[in-house]
Amino acid sequence: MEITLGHALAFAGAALAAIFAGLGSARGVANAGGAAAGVVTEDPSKFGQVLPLQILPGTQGLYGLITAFLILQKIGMFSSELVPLTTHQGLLFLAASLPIAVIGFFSAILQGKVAVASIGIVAKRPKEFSKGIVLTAMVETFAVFAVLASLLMVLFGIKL
Amino acid sequence: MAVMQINPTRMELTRLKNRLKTARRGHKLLKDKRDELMKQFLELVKQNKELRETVERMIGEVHKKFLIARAVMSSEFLGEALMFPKQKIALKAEEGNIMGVEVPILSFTTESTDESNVYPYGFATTSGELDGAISTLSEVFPYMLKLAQLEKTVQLLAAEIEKTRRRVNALEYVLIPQLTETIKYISMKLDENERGNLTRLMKVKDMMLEEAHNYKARLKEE
Amino acid sequence: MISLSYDTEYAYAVARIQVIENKLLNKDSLYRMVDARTIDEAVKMLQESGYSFKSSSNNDPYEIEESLKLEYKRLYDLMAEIAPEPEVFKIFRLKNDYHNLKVIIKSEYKGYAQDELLLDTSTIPYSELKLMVRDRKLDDMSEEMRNAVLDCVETFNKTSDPQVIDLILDRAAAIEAINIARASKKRFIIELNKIIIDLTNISSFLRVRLMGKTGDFLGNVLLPGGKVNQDLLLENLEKGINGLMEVLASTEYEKLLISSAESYEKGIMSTYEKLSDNYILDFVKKHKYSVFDVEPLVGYLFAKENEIRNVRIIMTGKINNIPGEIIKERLRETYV
Repeated sequence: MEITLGHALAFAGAALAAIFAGLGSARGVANAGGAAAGVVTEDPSKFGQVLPLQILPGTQGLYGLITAFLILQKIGMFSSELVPLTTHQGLLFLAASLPIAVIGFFSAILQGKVAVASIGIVAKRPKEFSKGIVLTAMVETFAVFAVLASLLMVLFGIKL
Repeated sequence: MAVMQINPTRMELTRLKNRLKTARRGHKLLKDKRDELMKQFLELVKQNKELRETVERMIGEVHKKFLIARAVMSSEFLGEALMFPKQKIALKAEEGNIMGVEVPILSFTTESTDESNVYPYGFATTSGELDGAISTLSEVFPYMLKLAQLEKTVQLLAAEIEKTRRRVNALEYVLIPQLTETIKYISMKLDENERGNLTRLMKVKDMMLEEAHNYKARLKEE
Repeated sequence: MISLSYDTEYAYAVARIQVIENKLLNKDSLYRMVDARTIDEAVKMLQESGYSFKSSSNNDPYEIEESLKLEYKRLYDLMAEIAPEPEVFKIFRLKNDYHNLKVIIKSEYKGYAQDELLLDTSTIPYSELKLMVRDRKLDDMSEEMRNAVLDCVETFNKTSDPQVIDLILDRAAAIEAINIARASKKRFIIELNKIIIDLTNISSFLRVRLMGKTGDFLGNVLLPGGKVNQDLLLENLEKGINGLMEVLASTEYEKLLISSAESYEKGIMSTYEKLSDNYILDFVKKHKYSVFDVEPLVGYLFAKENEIRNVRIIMTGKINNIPGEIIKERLRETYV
């Protein structure tokens, strides 16, 4: 079958979702990881407390991956043959990937900052560590909304 | 009291009498000197005590201020601030005279006449607490010099008084009694000789008369 | 989009500092040290918070000074190790370079060295600095430092006044600090540096006034680059602290001056110095919650220097039996 511009655009959408959400997460996790390492350097016993905080900004990457996966599935990459797509349909896929790509990218970075600050809580007041988790998880809400938007569009918005 | 080992002659007697006279006069003079020195000494000691108390109080103050400056500055910064003095002074030592005692007179002149020139350091890395310590220290310096002068004077006077006292005592209790005793001895000896002589003369006279007039023979004849 | 910033490194450094900060002595511990019955007791408290002493029972002031020196060195080593932009920290080590320079130049004119006064927390190791000055090979110095050294040599040969050495070098240090602050492009550092210069200038103003020196002299002492205009200070020297309060009435330093005016009128500088140290500490404290920048690190640096100063005040006081009240009067605020 013929590969159309529509396919290219849909692939681009999947790639965007994976790339930007992943990139944001990578930075978020890296920053949180730096802070976590700082705490652990001085006090190795806090490793268990800082680890969840470091992981939290990583979820956006996962959401990006899921979105990309669903887009690819929808256009039939995992079945024997690709579903034929028009350019418009391709653009719809691209649009659907944007929420998680953009929001995922920024929310991951921002969540990374909150995570770093919350690791500060662990450093100062280890007992209040759960509050740090709550604060950091708050940022997650918006990533979840974004991934929901993306998924709704992909699963139900685009009729092939 | 021991008598001197001398020949009891009239010449010696005259000499000793002169010596005694000199000794008595010397004794009186030295006693006067001692009393006057004592008076001066007591005066100076009083001054000295007051000055020393002032200086000690001020130095205590300086010490306290330095301690606090020391507490707020690290030793390196403090050491650097004070490692090179700015104000230079020239110290002059002269000799004075109290009752024939040579005493020091100390004076100093500063190279710069500006009194606020005693701070040898910059301001950015030093504490204001150090300023107070330095200025009090520079205030106390003239007093310290004065005290040094006074204490030395008092010491020298004390030594002089001791010396004079010893001399007075030597005159009073040794020389004068000795001289008096010896004079007495010589006069007694001379008197003794005199009496001996007289007796001898009378005897000789008797003998001569006897020989001339033959008193005894005449007495027998009668 | 992705700037090659130092975020991760700062996150690491700041988190480490946050843990280390926990060990800083708070006001209660300091007061307890002041009230400790024996010196040993106070030393034990210091040891618990990480200070090291060669032997536990020691009333030797040099021993304590050694320990503080070590703590100071450790602080700077830590900063050098974890600070992502070490060139920013140069601004805080600079004063030690200039201090060494003063010692070296004064030693030269005095004719004998006093190496025990040299600090090893400078940016240029003092052994190198010594050689540079000795051989007059000043090429490796910053321009400011080189000019200052030459200026010192020239002026001292003319006047034989050791104070000018300090004044010239203090000024050069200030100018170089301003340059470093500008180059860092960090508003916090620039502002902090300005505050330090201002507070130093105000202190110089007050001290020069107490000494009864003239405005000309003050002109030589004042450092450039602060927020307070130097001319304002020069014009109001005759009016003393009241004049200064009027001039600075609307500035951030007003409160500080009002609080220290009463004791200053009695000729006491300690209140001003304490309050100005507190002011700087307050400033860095306000900024300590940023997590991807130099602020918390600078904050810790100042906090620790402040703590070392407090400990020195306490220990010197204790060894010399200074009453607790006088010690407490001089204790600076604490960071934690």
